[in-house]
Amino acid sequence: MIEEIKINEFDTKYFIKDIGYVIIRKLYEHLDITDVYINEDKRRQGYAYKILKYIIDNNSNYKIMLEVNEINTPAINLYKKLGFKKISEREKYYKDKTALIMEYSKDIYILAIESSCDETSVSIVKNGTEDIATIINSQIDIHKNYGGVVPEIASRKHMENITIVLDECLKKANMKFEDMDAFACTYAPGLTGSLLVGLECAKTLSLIYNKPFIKVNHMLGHISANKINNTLKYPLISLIVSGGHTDLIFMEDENNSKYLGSTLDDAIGECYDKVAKILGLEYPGGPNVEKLALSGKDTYKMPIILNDESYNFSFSGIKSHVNNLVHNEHQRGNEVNKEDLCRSFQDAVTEHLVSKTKKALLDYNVKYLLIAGGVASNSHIREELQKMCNSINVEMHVPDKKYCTDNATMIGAAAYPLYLKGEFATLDTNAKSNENI
Amino acid sequence: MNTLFIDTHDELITVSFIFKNNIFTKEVISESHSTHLLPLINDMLNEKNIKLNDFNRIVVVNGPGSFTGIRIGLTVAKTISYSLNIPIYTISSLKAYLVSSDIDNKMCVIEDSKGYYVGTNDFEIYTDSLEDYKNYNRVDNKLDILKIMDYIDTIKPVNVHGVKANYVKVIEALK
Repeated sequence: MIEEIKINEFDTKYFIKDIGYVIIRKLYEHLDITDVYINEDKRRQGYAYKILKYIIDNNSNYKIMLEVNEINTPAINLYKKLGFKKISEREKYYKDKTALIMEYSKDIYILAIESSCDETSVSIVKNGTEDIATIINSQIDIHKNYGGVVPEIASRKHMENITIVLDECLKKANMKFEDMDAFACTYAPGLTGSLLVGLECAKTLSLIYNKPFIKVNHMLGHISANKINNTLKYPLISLIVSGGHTDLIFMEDENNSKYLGSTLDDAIGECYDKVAKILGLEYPGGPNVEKLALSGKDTYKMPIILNDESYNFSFSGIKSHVNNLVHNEHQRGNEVNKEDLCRSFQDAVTEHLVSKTKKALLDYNVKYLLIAGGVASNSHIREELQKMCNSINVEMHVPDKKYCTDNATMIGAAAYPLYLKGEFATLDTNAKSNENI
Repeated sequence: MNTLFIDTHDELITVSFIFKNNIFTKEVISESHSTHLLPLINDMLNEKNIKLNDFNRIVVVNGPGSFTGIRIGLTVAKTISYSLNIPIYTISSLKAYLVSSDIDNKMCVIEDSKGYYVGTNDFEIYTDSLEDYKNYNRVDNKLDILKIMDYIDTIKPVNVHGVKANYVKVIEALK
């Protein structure tokens, strides 16, 4: 039975009779834990935990802090167990020993869903940066038969798979829906029918468990893939390269971003897929073009792409060039060397990406480059961008390959700052096929 | 049996709460079920001051009808069923209208932009002409929730992961 008694205007004592006490001091929004004492014969029985937990639970509006001697390991472990984290140190605070300053912060778990194209994915993300469990169910084997994603089939598969993927993710994380602090999902851009499945599922979970629902833009998700096990440094420039996007975005800080440029026609991933189709390669074509390019040489002459002062990209010209080249050779009865053509094509589009990105970095004097999107998993493009960054002394960050292609982890990472800001969405949220960040 | 009934197969969303013989039904005509279905359920729960885990049976119409509409209803029903471990039952839209009517030799017809979904007690098909089905008596496409519940009492629940939509019509890519 925990009782409390006010000592003076600022200090309150919480105690269990004949066991021990905790004294706190409240000042504005701060709550300092100033003294913890448990009778010697009652120690190591969980009483301190019980009293401190009671204080935490009943003072959720306060910033709770304490200091502890660095050699007091049992106490430090107790505070960590309660959710306190070290934020700084005060040297020689206790005579010759250092004091650790710890602050209570609850871990935030977000369950995120991604279903914008042909991957059904569910992930549980801790504090916006730690991947607790992620399941990705890809439908690629089905869509391969059609040479591309068939929206109606994708939507059907999402609906059939959604609870299975949820179930696998919870089991992998060994957690329950009740452990979640919020439910998030991609609501735009993407295939509407596919988006709707993830969206309705996340909204329903939010209704059932009475927890916030957070809607996330898919492209913001791709950028946020860089937050998984990493801290961003602003200002930065983000290059998004995927099947639907080729964008350069300048981000002054987390809340202020500006579109510098984007593709005037096809997206880079789309262009890779179309070139693959021209060469008769299997869907998904992008990775197959990359594979062939590995063993090829840059022998085919490619056009110089959009060599102007803008930050825009263009990929339809080079696609037409490859198409004409293959047809002309066919008409002459010749076969193209696919490896060499893939290599020449890849070198040309990479050069285009690198030069525009370099221009943006230099013009805006930015020292940090983020790469995001499915095409960021292309090793050649990663390497060439890295070389360029090294040459102008820019730090580059690119997510692990598994976080480059569509996944729900990045959606959880993107949802976290929205959670902290309280930017929640309502149950009438609809899917949108198109939306800029 | 406390049953939650959801029908989203056409532009009219129907949600019913059935507690013993008390039926609480609300309908919304909607062009965007994603905007209306969950707010409707939420309003009804608040109005009756009940929670989703007060239900011990979910009945959902799984088509035929609007592909997107069906998927919205099914996704919501599956998510509730899976997370709260409530048995789920599916009924086709044609069957739901058929069991709601008492006439003999009956047939249910649901029109879409290019043809007709036709259902009788023996079959469900998609056709571009009703010429061959003149001998049947067409039912009014109206839901009688209590009669549907009587029908559900006679069938078994579906494994939540195995819940499938009843599209009837075959799309081009799958032909």
